[in-house]
Amino acid sequence: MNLAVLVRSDVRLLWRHGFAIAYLVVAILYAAIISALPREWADAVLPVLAWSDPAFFCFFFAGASVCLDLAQGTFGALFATPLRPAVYIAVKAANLSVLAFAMAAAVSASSRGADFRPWPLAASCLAGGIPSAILGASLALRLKSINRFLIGSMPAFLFLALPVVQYAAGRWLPPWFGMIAAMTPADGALRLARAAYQAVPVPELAVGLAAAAVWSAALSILVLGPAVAAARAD
Amino acid sequence: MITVEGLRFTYPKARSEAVRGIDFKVSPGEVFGFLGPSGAGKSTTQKILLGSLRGYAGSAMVAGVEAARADAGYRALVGAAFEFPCFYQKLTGIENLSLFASFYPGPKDDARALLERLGLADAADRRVAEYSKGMKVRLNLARAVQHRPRILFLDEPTSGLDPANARIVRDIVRERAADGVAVFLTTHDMAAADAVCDRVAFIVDGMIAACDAPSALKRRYGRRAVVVDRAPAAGVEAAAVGDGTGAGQREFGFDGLADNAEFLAELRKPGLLGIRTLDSSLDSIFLALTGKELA
Repeated sequence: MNLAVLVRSDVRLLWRHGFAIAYLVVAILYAAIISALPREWADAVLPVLAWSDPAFFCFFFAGASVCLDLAQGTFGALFATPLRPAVYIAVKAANLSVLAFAMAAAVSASSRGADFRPWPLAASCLAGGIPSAILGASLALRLKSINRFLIGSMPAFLFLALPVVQYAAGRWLPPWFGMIAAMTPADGALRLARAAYQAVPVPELAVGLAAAAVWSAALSILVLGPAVAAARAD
Repeated sequence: MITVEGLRFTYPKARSEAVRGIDFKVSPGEVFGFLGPSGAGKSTTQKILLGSLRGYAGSAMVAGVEAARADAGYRALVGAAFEFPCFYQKLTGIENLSLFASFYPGPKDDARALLERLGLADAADRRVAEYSKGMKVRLNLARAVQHRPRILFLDEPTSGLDPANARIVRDIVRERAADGVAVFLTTHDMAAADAVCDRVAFIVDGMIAACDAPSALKRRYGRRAVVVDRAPAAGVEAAAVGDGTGAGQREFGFDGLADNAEFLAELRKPGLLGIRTLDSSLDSIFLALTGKELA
């Protein structure tokens, strides 16, 4: 299998379907919001915006991309080829994560110039983007249309967003909420996003990356696999 | 290449079986037509053979592998063109072919040469969204054959094509078969099946009603006779010319035809329009065997 052709074709489709433009528009909007905030507030909000780039947009854009595939009927033809559906979704997730990194880096630079660490930011985009995209794509395969996906995926997205609730309001929430939030797929991404702008203990970052890897594997096997099998039989 | 024995399948929550114990074989180099009306079990059988539907009873072996255990290696041997040609609308024809070719190992056909053969050379760099239905059907065939599969599944490959393009498609199918490819052709177009298939199976309500070469079926179910069509002589009523089967027609049995004096005399009379056999069409045989029309 020629992975380069698949990556290039997926990038082409992301561009022609307007996903890259959507990222650009959101990046400009985020930069405008950040620049309007006082520095102290901007520093607090920036990790959340950087987290939302992979966790939020990879989730919805991967789902929307799969819905477009379903609307065009291309999955039937793909399933008849030797391509493993997990590879197809992984390439989408990786491309969206790279776009998310470009967006997060641009927003960070607009606020702090060169005063941020790109490697934790890149790791955050992968740790947030991959599991979120797998979850979004799996739900889209089950829900089959963009309208149903936008409504039906809300509970899953709220689950993904628990670490942000903990980050913003943790001091007023019971301890068990923080424990649950720490076990969600995008928690590691938020820890890594914070590390792009402030000191975060290395073990905490390692746990964040490991948790994202475990979540990605678990979602692939337990959620994406059955969703693909159901779509294949349709 | 394909061996199906006692194949049965029931969809989850369905009350009756979609496929009810069918048997057939397709050899390398053979074009096998699977004919039947909508809902007869054609697509279900094809999905099973492509490894998309599992949980069937019986056996469906493709290239020595049970279809339920289809993996990437299995799918690399197979090319499929589904009834509704689905492509990435925002990619060009050549970009679509390049993407799908990238999933397969081994040598491929030159995509542009294939598109030229199918009359799509000028459209190769246009987005598929701009293609007509007939163009998509031809692109569908190009996608199915470009990686040189050993087994080809074609679903209504000439649907929506004009006669010239349908002929090109049939020629390509015959050429692949001549190269040893086993072709499983699903259709309800009896004329197309008659033109390209070595054998056909009639499937109705999940069961195979008949399976043989089109010529053998036509011989078996047709009348062994010829009809001489002749214009009526001047001043003679048409009905009086023939044997009562119609104006200007006379029927003669095959047995002893070369020595049949009446037949030879009929040929010598003026006004001969033509001679035809009374073969049945596949449509009429299907109707006779199943009591159902193809739609």
